[in-house]
Amino acid sequence: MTTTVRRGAFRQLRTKEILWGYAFLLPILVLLGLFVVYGLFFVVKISFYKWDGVDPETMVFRGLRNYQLLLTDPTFLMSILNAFVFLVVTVAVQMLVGLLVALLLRPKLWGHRFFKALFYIPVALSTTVIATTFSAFYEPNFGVLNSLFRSPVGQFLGLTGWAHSWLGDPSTALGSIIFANIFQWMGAQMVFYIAGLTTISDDVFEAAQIDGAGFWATLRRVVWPSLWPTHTTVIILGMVGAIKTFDIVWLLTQGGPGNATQFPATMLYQSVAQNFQAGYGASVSVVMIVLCVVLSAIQIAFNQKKREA
Amino acid sequence: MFRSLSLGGKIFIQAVLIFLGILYLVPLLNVVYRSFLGAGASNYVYLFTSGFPILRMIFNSFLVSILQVLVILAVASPSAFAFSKMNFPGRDAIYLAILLTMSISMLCFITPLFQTLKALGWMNTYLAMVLPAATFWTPVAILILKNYFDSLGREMLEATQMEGGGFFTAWWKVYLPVSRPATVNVIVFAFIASWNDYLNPLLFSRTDDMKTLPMAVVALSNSIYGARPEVVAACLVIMALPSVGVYLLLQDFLGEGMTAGSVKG
Repeated sequence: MTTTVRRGAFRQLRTKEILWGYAFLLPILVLLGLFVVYGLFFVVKISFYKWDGVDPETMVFRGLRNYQLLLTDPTFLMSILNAFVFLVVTVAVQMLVGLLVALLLRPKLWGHRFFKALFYIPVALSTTVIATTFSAFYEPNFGVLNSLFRSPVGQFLGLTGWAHSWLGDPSTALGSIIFANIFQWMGAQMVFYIAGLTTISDDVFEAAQIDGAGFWATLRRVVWPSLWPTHTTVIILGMVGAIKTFDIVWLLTQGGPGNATQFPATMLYQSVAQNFQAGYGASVSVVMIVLCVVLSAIQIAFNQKKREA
Repeated sequence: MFRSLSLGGKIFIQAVLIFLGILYLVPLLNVVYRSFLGAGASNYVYLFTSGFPILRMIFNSFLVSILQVLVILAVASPSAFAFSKMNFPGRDAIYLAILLTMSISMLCFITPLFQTLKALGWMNTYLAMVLPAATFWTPVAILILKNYFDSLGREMLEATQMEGGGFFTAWWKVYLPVSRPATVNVIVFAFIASWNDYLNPLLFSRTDDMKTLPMAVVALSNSIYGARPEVVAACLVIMALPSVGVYLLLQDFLGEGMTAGSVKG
């Protein structure tokens, strides 16, 4: 008798738990359904159509044609190439500089708290601020960079010839954007590496020193290999960042000159918002979404493995 | 490498730090300096009195950011609690699906978002400025909060149930207050992300009176009021104060959120 009562009470509690579980999830599921799940079906669907994105009557089914066009579209190929260059340079520099700064801050010398805060400030700033600042920095006539090259010191060093339109020249536009982007986000990598370095005890460094390993050898043989969890995070976030980079490019060059700084995200925005090619733009969206989801899956699997280890 | 740092090593490290520090300090201070060029503080006065709707845009920025933070917390905290402490069919699959959407840019859904917001009649309204962007930030908040709830254990839930309390009471009265450190992280990083967001107002605000500050800077540079770079610089300084201020004031309370907050970029 008592057991049935108890089992009944237990079942009641289980039902309550299941119902409350879904109730707690209801708001996020409604929002995700409205903006993400519906959006996903919609984007995949119209990526098979030719459509201006305005009048639903004008949709014309064209199968895989958008994707075929994409593979031969110089704008898209250039955007992938740019994103790849952006990714490799950004990640390489950020790993080296981020780790270097984290190492320099570790001994907690004079002003280390000030420096840490200072390097992180650009992360907390709007890209609009960063873009406007660098726009003035690169400005061809009175910009800081060209003024430096034209100054007596610049003349003395023979750098005057370097003064030119940094964002207007196709050969330097992408590099200029990459530099601004690294300036903005280096503080984030620094924080990752500071966190990563806390897993290495001072004893490890001491032991390496007793063994006669110098600074660089310690760095290469001890510190670098044991930071692989952090490296992985930085690399995957760098990949996601390269795929979705939009605001800094849009604010500085809008993808130009020509397609010199075209990115998948800027091409997507141009196709949909400026050229009224919603169907074609959607095929770019689909490519970006697939890449981001795959990268997230790798990151999640990696974190899972780390937690189990 | 560290404890037995030689004097030479210390001087070297200090020199490199100061060099990098100058590299970072100069461009940042330069914006402040330029905002006072020419007319001094009058640049700021001009910005507020020229007829450019800057006050409205500051108000919009605060309203949109605060509402986004409230929506994110109201949606993320209960779901993170459910993912962490409750058992129901499909829980892990739903959590995985939500995490997978984390890195997708809102820009990818530009056409369906326009269609949905138009159908709802929300275009160029605060609802359009708040709900989609908050939705796209919520998965990060769920991740941060669930990790924190995971570290708390199930005992407090069982204790609440012994006293006759339900799941809602356990979340609202026990777990939400205890999760304050993680909640503060979410509030700070969601606020900064929303305050700084350029894409959101670019997509969903149509008129000047609905724009937030990142669009204000662009609108100002192209308008009759602010062609002068000093005035634009003044606007940048005003825009930077809240986000940098919040970060500097609360930096000691920000732990893992600093890394998780960077995920969303």
